[in-house]
Amino acid sequence: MTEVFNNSNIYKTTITDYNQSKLIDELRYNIDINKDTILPSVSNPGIESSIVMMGGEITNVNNQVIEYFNKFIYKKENLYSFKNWVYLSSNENQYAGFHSHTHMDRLKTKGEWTWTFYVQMPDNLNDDDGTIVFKITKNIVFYQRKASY
Amino acid sequence: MIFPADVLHMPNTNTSSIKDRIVLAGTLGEIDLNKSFVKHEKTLF
Repeated sequence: MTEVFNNSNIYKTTITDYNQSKLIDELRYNIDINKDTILPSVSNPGIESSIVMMGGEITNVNNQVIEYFNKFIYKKENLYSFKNWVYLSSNENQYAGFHSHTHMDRLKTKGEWTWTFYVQMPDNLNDDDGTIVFKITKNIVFYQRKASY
Repeated sequence: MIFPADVLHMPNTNTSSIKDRIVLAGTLGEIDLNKSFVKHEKTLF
């Protein structure tokens, strides 16, 4: 696990031990069966669905992420609250806005750490399309280039 | 990617793509069993 920018606490790593097509199938199924899936709207331009399935590739990837947390962030004996979701953004999504994840939906606890795993990167990207942008301080914005995913 | 939950971030759009951007994500917050959460809601009772 490497730090993307010095002293940013933003890290990246690679997970390769998973089946991408199976994971995509599972996540689309999760979106379908979850009655609380949020469909695209003005306030939420993508599809967002909390993870309600266990087993398969979802649990495989989640477990690998948790291993990173236990190794680098938390001590293994620590307890922590956990929210997990899938976000799907199509080419119809015209919205890009800054946000954070301190609010944990339906929980009283506050989020301390966020992780994102790009299951499928969009194609036909021009310029900064698909790039994730971090705003570390008020005036400094860092770009994580798509080539680094 | 792993980063503090309070870091503002923004994924740019992908309006020319055929493939969807699909992200599996999560948020974690450490729990201390010795601390309870204050009930914020106020009622007349």
